[in-house]
Amino acid sequence: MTLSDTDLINKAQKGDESAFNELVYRYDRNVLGLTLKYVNDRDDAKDIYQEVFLRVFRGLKNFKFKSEFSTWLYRITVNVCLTHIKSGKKQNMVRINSNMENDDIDNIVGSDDAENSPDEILSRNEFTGNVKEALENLSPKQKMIFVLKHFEGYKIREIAMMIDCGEGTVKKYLFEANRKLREQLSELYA
Amino acid sequence: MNHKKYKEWIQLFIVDELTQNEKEELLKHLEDCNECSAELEKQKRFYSSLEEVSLPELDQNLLSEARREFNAALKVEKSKRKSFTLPTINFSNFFFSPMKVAFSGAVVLIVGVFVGYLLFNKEIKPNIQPIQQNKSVNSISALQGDTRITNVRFIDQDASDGQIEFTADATKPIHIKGNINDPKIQNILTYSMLYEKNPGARLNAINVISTNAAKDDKEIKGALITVAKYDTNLGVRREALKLLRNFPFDSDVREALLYILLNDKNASMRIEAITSLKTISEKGNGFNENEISAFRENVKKEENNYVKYQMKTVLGETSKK
Repeated sequence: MTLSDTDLINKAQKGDESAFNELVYRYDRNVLGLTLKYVNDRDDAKDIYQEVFLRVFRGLKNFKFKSEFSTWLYRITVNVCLTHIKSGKKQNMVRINSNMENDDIDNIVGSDDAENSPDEILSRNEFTGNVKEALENLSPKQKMIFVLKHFEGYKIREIAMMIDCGEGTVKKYLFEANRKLREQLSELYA
Repeated sequence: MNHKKYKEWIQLFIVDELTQNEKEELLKHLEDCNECSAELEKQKRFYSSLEEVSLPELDQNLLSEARREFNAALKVEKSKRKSFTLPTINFSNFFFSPMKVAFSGAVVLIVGVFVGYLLFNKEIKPNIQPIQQNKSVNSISALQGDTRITNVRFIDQDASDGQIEFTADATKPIHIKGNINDPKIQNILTYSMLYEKNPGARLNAINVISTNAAKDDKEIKGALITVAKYDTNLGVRREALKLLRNFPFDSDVREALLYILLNDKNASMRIEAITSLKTISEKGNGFNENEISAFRENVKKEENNYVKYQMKTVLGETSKK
């Protein structure tokens, strides 16, 4: 039977490398998926992934099972994301061309949008570009909470545990993010 | 009327985060309030437009790259830890316990042998060139023509003051010839098996190392299990699974086979896993309780008819007993 997180942590705490690897591989897709959506840049996402799991490696021996491992891991992920300084390349890219990035072009060329006309695809990609730009104008915490809720589908209760704050605080951030985004995108979605 | 509250609730209503009572209160309010009904429509439009947004999705290449880079960083982390972690001894009351007097004698002996080893042992130069890590920013002149530079990341790309700063990965090809049983050679091959970017190279490493490994080599068995379970390339996973047959079918291998059976998306891997599990069970005492309960939980979800049939057969035979 597949080992539980607790078993893997116990083994990893005793120095079992394969248990640590299994723990990483069990969650790393979710961690990388979230960071990629948050930073919207592959290199930055990889940097954050590395920092997150190095912190897990360093901290695992002191993990006392006071929370679920996954909650602890996502809390680390959120903290690393919030304090991450973007690479120069990304900062520059946003300034030069925020509406149409390479992955948008890839979407047009090789996507599953066979049913949609090029105009529709272009318009959707333009909208996506504008949303990405609008997200960049949110504070890091607003952006993270909005991404977790609306693009990753977490419940407010779960986000509160990840951010380590109350559900009311999460709601406040969501309302504020919603207000700012609607202001910026009002012409596009109306 | 508290429109602010209801307007906030509308957002929570759309994402299904209201309690039943709150929902009922909001719906009742919406019946009488045009302003909030209009707000509901606006919010619905906003959220449905968000569904059109495609934020970047994770792909296997990125995941493999992230894993590989993390494992390289982890190696550095571990080597740092080894360098800086010194054994600590609590000397309080140490010499007051008679049992510990004997123990301290043994420690003195071991330390003496170790010091003697350091003093008189002649350095043996390894055949393998050490892999250099973390070349510093000042070592540009040390880079030779065959050094490959990749992953250039700017820290300061503003050249207005004449200075720029960046990091990069510098890799230099090395040529190694040595004995397959040399632990250093085996380390390199195991690393290659797990983290080499090219699937063909991972496959070659697996074949070379596994066919020459001793059947009791736990490290190689562990590495093969990791590859069979998690490698992103099907061919590599399949080869690792095949080579696992050369190792004794102990509990680690059984666990790995069960993991593959329940998690691998490729039907041929699941077929191979259940076939091997059946072989093991026929040679031994049959399936264990964990395996049977896992079959019971997963038989309905299984999409491949052969695997499903095999699971049902096992469950049928078990229920007869």
